[in-house]
Amino acid sequence: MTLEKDLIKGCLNQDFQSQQAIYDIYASKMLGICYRYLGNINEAEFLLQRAFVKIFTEFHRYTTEISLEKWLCQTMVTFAVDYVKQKNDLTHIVDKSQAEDLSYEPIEADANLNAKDIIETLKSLPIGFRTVLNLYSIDGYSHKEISLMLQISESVSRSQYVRGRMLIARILSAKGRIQSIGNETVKI
Amino acid sequence: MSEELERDLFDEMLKKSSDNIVASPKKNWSKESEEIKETEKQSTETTQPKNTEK
Repeated sequence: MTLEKDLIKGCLNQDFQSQQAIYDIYASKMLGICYRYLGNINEAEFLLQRAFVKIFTEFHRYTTEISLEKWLCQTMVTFAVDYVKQKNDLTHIVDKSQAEDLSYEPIEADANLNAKDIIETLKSLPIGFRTVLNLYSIDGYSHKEISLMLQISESVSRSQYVRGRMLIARILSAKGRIQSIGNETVKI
Repeated sequence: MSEELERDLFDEMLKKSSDNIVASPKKNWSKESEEIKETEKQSTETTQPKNTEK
C-alpha cells in the first residue's frame, strides 16, 4: 500500500495534505466508533475532531507493527473511553450481584441485524452497560483490560457485560430483531 | 470458563453489525482543526506562568 506509506510519511512530517487525506479515508469509520460509545452524534463529532488533532500531533507514536487503521481504531476507542470517564463517574458502579450469579443464557442472533439496529440499541443502554459491551463484545478487550481502563473491578465489568447483553437482547427481541433468548422463543 | 469461551454468537453479531457503523462528519476538518489548535494554544498560554524578569 504505497499511497498509505506516503501518507504516513507525510503525517510524520506534519504535512497537512497528508493529514487531510488520512482524515478523509478514516473519519467516517472513526466517527462510527465515537458514536457507539457516546450515543450522541454531535458529541461524537466534537470528540472526533479533537482526537484527530491529537493523533496528528503525536503521530510519531504510530509504529508499523499494526495497520494504520487498527491503530487509529484503538486510539479512537481510548479517546472515547476517556471522554466517557470525564463526563460520567463510572467508578461508582457497584454491582451487588456477581456476574457468576447471573443467569447466562444463550442468545440466538439474527444474522440480518443491521448497523442501525445496533446503534439505536446501544444508545438506549445505561452508560456502564454500553461502555463495557462496546469494549468487550465489539472491540475485543478482556475484562481485566476493561477493569484497568474504567477503574472498576473485573467482577463489575463481567456483571455489567452480562446485564447489558440481557438488556440488549430484550430490546432487540421487543423489536422483533432476534429470534430467541434462552429457551424462550420470540417472534420475528 | 475462559473469556474466549464466553464470547458467543451474540458478541459476534454485535461485532459484525457494528463494523458497518459509519457516519459522515459534517464539519470541515481543515477549518475545525485550525480552530482547535488555536484554542489549545491560547489555553496553554494562559495557564503558563508569566515570565517575571527582575
